[in-house]
Amino acid sequence: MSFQLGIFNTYTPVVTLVGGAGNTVPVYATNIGRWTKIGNMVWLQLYFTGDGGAEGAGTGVLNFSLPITSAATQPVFRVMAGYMYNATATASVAYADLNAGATSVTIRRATDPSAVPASANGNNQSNTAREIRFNLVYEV
Amino acid sequence: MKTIRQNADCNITIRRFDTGENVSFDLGTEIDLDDATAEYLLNYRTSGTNADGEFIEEAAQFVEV
Repeated sequence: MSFQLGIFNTYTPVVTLVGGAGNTVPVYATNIGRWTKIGNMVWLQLYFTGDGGAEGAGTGVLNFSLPITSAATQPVFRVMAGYMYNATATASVAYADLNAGATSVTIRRATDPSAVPASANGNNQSNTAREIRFNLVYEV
Repeated sequence: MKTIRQNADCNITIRRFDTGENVSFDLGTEIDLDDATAEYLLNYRTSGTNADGEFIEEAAQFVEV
């Protein structure tokens, strides 16, 4: 995979649902990942919106593929990374859970930023008006 | 075409890259997949957090059979 310093590259993130039951992977009309790599850090923007096919279902946790595997030295972290909604009236803060040596990032959500975020699952992306967007910086 | 097996006790659902069909794996599940989807899963390492929000390592592990 090649990259150009300071210029955002694009890729199509792969959506998976991990664990749970009754899973259907949501399909988005727009499914974009934009990233650049400077030194050993990746700056990543993920943007998923609109009804591109199947609606999400199930209790499996949403995961999105990363453009580059996170480093073994990447500290395990959870960051407030953006926002998501499932029908425009039901917005949540989106959190990114990132592990060392991971090829995907896990999404969590909280309608109240003071609350411990819960897993964001297929059922949380079941409406035809659905969206997730967030930014993430991580070590590779 | 490759046959891959899930070797961890955590299921995962993905849309096949070739057909868009949802396929689900659980521990010991073996499925024939197109090469691109199979390669993706063979390299797959989730940032896996469980229902309690605790991080778990390598919640999904796949091998070719």
